[in-house]
Amino acid sequence: MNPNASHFAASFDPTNQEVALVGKLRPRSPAQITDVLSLVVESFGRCDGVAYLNVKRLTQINITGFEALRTCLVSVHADLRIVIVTSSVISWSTRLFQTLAETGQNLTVEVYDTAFYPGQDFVEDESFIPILRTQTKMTWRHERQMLPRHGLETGAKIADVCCGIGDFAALVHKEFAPARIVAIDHSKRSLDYARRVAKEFGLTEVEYVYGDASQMLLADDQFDFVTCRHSLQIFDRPEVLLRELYRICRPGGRVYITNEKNSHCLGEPHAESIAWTYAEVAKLFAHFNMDVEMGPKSRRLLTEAGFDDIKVESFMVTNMDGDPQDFADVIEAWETVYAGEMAVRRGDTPEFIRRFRQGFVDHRTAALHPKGYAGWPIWAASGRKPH
Amino acid sequence: MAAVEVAKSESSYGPMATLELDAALLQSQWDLCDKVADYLSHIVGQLHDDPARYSNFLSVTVNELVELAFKTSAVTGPVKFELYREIGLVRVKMSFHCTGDARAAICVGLDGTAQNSARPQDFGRVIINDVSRLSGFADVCQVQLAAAEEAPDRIALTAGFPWHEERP
Repeated sequence: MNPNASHFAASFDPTNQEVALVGKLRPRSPAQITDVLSLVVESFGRCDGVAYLNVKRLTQINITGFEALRTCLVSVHADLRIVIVTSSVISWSTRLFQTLAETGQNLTVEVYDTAFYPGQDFVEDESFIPILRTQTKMTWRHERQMLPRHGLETGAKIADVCCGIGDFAALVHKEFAPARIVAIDHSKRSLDYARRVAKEFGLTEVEYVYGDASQMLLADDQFDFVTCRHSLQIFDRPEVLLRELYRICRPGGRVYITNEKNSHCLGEPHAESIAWTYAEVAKLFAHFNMDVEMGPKSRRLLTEAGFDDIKVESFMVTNMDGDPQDFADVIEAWETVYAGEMAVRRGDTPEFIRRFRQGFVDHRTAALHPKGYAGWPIWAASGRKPH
Repeated sequence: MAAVEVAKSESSYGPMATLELDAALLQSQWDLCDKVADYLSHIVGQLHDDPARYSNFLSVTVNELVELAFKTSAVTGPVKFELYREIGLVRVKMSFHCTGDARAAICVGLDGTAQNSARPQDFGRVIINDVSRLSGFADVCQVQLAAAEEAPDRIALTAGFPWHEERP
């Protein structure tokens, strides 16, 4: 028996002409992976033009496996161009597969980073960081009260997946004194910022980890509480992420997620203009394969991922929670990114963008108006991993 | 790293962890290579600011060393692993009993020279091939490999890992 086999899977997606190798491939001999090699040869044999060998979630390979793969790829017909897709998370992967690419003219290597994270480049801009901090400050007032209801206890082992600039992990650490807290993100820039802030504040206990949330280098069943906030909604395949959150959570532990429903952002005065703009925000994100209407879908997502004892609650961040200027600043940042960058990239007309911007202006007015009200609805949900 | 430098370095730093396995036990199950590699890499990774990623980086080469011991060690005697943390470097040293033919092959495969042993024979030529591939693999992973014969009848391989692995 080869226990490594249980941690390895190979599959072919004919639609995308892609063979994906996932997990750990450490055979004793090529004969042990005959089925994998056959799948590669047969699959590529059915492809024309460009085909993909996706190894971005291949976490380990030994020389035996690598050499067998090399032999197998060389045997594929020369007319087919094969792109080997690696991940920057696995530090040796690109360098190793580059050597393979050098042996065949029809092989090239591409480092995958953004395809799975369609929203990442929109939020990686350093100028967006103060806004992310303000957003966390606004939601923390609510989440701090809610987290114990979702099962977070002092002394827990916690993973904060897609931690961004790490401020939530730092707040959780301060409030709940976890036994261990790992904060993982796919943005090096955000992690650098998180580490810098943690160092300044003398916060040494949070482990900031660079990683791909869809294939984390963390062991199974090790965390009591796994959080993933405002992130499932910006992945094009949230079910893949949920599978990973489930995997690293211990049986009996809980996974906690938060997501928005942007079309339900509201304000008075100018309710109509605000409602129109945020309905358009949802459509804009959908154009980039992101679902910012995900909040109310949380129960279904958690159920389908295998969780039980699901809890869902929603809360509204409003201009009355703290300093209304904070909320106004956040709305302004949304306008900059959504209207200034995303709508432009989608190719929207100046007339559309003008009207689109007006809703944000009105939302800010509502937030700052002495008799106004502005809201941003968020759904928090959690599920227990069954024993 | 030259053998003299390795010895000098070891005199100033003791190993931070040591693991000994009976060679027969290691050879009883192929999957132990994977388990030992991940176990050792996990220990070292805990010292790094990105533990999971650094463990993964170490494990790919450490596994090759363990596989080499699986294939070439004598069936008796300990296979010993020592972990050293130094400035800018982690070293994993592995030593085990093996035949003179295997020792010569490992030394030839790594740096082209056999020290005390005779020239490698048939089995040795297979090992040379394995070790040459291991050496190329380690180069790609930016890991420095060195081998030295240890008395009596033991070989020691040392892998030096940069503390800050280059990101592609």
